[in-house]
Amino acid sequence: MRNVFIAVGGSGTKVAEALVRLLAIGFPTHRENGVLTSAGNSLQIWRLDPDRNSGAAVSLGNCLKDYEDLQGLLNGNQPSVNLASSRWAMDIDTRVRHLDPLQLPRVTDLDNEVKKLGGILDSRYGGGIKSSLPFLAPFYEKKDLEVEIDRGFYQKPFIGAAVMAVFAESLNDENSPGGKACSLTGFQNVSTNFFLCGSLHGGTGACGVPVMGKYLGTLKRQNQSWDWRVGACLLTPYCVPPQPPFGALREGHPTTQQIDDLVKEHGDKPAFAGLTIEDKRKLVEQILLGFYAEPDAMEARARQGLAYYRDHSADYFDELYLAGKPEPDKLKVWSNGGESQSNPLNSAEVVAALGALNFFSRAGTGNPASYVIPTSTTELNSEKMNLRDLPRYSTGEEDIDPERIFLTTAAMHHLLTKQIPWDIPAKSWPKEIDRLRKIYQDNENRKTEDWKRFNAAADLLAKFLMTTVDPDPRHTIGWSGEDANRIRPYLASDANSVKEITAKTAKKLMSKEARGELELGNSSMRISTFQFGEWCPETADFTRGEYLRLVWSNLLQGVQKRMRVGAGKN
Amino acid sequence: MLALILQGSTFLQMFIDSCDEEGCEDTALNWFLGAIVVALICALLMLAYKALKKYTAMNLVQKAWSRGQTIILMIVGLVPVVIILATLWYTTRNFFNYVGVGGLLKGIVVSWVLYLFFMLTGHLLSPWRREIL
Repeated sequence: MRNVFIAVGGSGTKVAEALVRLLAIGFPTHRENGVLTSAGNSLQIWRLDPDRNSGAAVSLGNCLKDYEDLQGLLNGNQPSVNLASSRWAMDIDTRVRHLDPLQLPRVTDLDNEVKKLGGILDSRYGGGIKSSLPFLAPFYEKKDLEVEIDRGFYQKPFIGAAVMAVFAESLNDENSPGGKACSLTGFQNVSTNFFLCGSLHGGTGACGVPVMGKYLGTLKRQNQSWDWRVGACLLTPYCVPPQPPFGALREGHPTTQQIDDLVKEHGDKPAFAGLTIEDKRKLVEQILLGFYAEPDAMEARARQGLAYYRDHSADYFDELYLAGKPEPDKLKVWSNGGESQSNPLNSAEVVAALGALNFFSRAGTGNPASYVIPTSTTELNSEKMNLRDLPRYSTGEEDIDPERIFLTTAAMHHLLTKQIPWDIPAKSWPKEIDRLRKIYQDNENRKTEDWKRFNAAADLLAKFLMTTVDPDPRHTIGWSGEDANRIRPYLASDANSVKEITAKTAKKLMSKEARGELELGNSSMRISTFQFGEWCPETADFTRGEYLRLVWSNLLQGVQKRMRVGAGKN
Repeated sequence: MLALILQGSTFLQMFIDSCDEEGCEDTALNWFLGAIVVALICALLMLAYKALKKYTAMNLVQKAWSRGQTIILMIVGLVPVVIILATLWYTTRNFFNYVGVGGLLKGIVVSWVLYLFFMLTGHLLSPWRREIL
């Protein structure tokens, strides 16, 4: 099954990063030969954003690099160029297709040169139009048409919607910049899940998701035999940026003196770091004209966005998900976009990524003709979430509980790296790990190579696990840290941690059953190393990814839900 | 029969320092047999220890014995051979008087060789052969 994740704007890009993280950690989308896995499916990431070099894009690129390394370590063959592939997890095309809505077809060389709304919309593209400016005047103020929009649409969907509509139209032409990047002809007659994600309250997301959704939805309706599905996750305000260093003018245009004074006063602040004096002046002018994300208006914009979907857009989607927080997290650093806008991964973005996984699994959510009311636990503290607060999703036949997945991967990390006697020749391994022994005993080189690569892969898995839920402000925001503290010993190599987990996975004297339980939040499992040793693929030519996925799937079967103290008492 | 052959040979005289009195061959034979029995008992004890450690191993790492660990086990087993033989030698008048220090040392060496032979044979005849080959 092909999947396409279309990240619209900065929030969508962060959700794409969360999705890659979840896939790396092991989140499945289907069952194949009795094993829960995401391997066998493929994913392309498209990024629809005028801000090419945003911090979120850089962060997604780094995450994809780690994913590629992980898959390369677990792959038996020479990895394909630009395809992170193994039997551990979904194949991901590591080239993020950058769909720049400002890269529109040109009729003349002067078209779309100026990355301002006026410059883009006053194009001759569209069939013999000489100038669009007379038509734009009734809808936009002069300052709207003159603002530079190559860093996003400043949470003003009315600016972005027009550009996005022209861009979506250009996708019909395979020779246009957007058409080339998407190559939609390659998706004809191929079962594909298209999943869009962006914010409801932003600029790029708020206008990009409905326009692209409508475009894909229309294509799908016209070609029902293609077996396309179009879904989206809309992010309601879940984090708010701080106010810019100074406010906008109430009316009028700023004077040169005003701009110079403000550059002098604020030019050394982080928001202006790395800018030339001319760029600083432009940024000051932009803020004075009110082109920045206005935190106080987010909720109202999200409401308007929802009303728009209800009235005009929802029908184009097979499924629509909403994710947000009752009390948005507060970001500390104001940014005008670009690389400096590097926000940590938010727990709400992980929730949205789980929506994408639910959609990719084709499980279907509720009755297609009705709403499924979104819910969360009553005691949820959205600023300090735990894994148990995350929504479950379905692979069709079973519910996937994120907490169970994290516990399974963490336990697998420990068992793989600490409970296989890698440093001893395989022929001396005990009969309790017979299958693996038989494979390695005549091929000690393969064992040594696998040991090395498993260790490197385990390091990357540990990185994915921790940087997804660790409440370190450099990595994430919105987590309590309880889960990160619980997971850490499973991933650690210090003697005390290893001893603690080893004691729990030790077998009882007269049976193979484990002495203790491995726990994370409300989930627990009782697995001894002797039970773990029995798991190995049937055929000898298995890859590292295949072995790891089999072990993982077997471990997951053993995870139970624990009764919390006080649960059930009302 | 073997005892008679050994008694008739000069092999046993190697184990006694002085043979001035009648019956010293019997003492030499007893000392030699003692060395064999001690080697056998120590080998059996060390093999039993290993079997117990493996049986009670809580995890795969504990259950897997490397060649190095097995060699260390064999070397450690040499110590009780010395202790038991020395005790036997010191507490038995004839051994102390006739076998002497030279016979003691020769007995220990023979017992060590036999002990190592028993240990190796024990491993080779069991699934543990993979741990030393």
